[in-house]
Formats: sequence, C-alpha cells, structure tokens
Amino acid sequence: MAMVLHGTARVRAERIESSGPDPDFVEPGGVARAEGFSTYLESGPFLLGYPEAYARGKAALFPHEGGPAILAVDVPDDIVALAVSVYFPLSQGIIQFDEGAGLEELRAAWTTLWKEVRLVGIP
Amino acid sequence: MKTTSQLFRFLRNALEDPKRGVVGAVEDLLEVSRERPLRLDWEGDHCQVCMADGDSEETIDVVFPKSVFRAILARMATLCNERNPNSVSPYGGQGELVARVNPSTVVKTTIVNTSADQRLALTTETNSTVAM
Repeated sequence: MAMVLHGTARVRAERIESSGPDPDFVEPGGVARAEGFSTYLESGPFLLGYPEAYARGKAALFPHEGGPAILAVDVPDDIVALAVSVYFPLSQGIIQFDEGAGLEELRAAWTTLWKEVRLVGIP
Repeated sequence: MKTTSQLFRFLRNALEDPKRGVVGAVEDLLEVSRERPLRLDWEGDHCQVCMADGDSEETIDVVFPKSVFRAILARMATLCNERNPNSVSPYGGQGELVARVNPSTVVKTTIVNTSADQRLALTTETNSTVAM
C-alpha cells in the first residue's frame, strides 16, 4: 500500500473522500473537466510543490469552500503501478491517476480504501 | 547555435518520449529557452509550442497528456519559488528560475495553471520576449 496526498479545499476533499475522485468535476465558474486525480506519495519527494501549498492555493481561489485541506488515501500498490509512466516515474513522487492510467481502478476500489481529510493551517 | 528545426526536434522528443520523467522534461525546456524564447499553450488535446527566431515565430503541435503539461507548469512554479520563495502560486504567476544544467542563466517565467487555462512563457535576459 502507498499513502498518497491530494491538496485542495476542505469541501472538495470531503466530497472526494465520500464519493471518490470525479473526472467530470468542473470547478465553479470553470468549463474544463478535472479529468484526473493528482496526488503525491506521502514520503515525497515533492518536486512540484507541497500538497499544503496546493491546498492553500485552492482555498484562496475558492474562499467559500472551507479552507485548505489534504485528503490522504492508502492505495494498493497494483493501482499505484497503473499510474506510473515515462512522465511520472515513482522516483519523482507524483502519482497522477488519469483516465486509462489507474483512475478507473482507483474509483472502483474507493469505498474499500482507508482515507482521511487533514485540515491545513494558514501561516 | 542550433537551428529552429533542431530545437523543435529536441523538444518533441523531450515532451513525447521523456527519459527522466516530467522533471527531466522541464530541464530540457529550460535548456532550449536559453537559446530561444518559448511559449507553450494547451489547445484542446495537444500542446502548441511557439519558438521565436528573430522577428518571426514558428509553431509546432506536440501530443502528450494534459496532466503532464500541468505537472510541467507546477514544476516551473516550484523552481521559481526555490529561487524566490512564494513568488509564484501553484496556479500561476510570474517569476524567475535557474536551470540546474546551467545555473548562470536566469529564465523569466510566466505561468498560468488553472483548470480552464494552461500556458507557459520562458525567456532569458538575452532573448527577446514572446508575448503571452
């Protein structure tokens, strides 16, 4: 199993926690689908910035969504392996679940996975 | 000095068949930006790469996953913040960074990385600017 982290706003973290990542999710005022689910290995490295920074950034963009939060999910190794590619080698710490690259399998297993929402402080 | 077609070929390989993941692809983009100003825009299902050459510009379309482009933008923002903390948010801004392969060159960076819009512009002090 691998613990992965997704930084976002609290309302979204709680929605994903209960229903799973939604590739058809569209942000308020937006037009584009989410398409995928971006996470980091909890152990890092955090080469694209820390999940806390994503959470704070998203909370700042959407101030009515409950503040910054991180969704932590424990994902089986065989599903994580589906997200590994030439673009996202495991060594870089980015676990990008895309359609056709682990997202469907992650959604299918979602209700069985351990997960929690961790609130993030604002410095 | 490499020709525009040589640089485009290098970039296409870096983006379509990377050997060092998205982090390596970013280093390759920065290497090219030392020679020519670059602009990358996500258009539908592909990336449009625009390179300035004197007074003219040339453009190619490169196909790779959108999530990869968003990761490239996020990596650029992280490098900007390593040089100047909190200068760029994960969702965009303007900053400066240095490429690991050539720390003496400062690259000016403009990033837009929202769900609706993804763009990147890279220039150096010695390059002319490509308009965003």
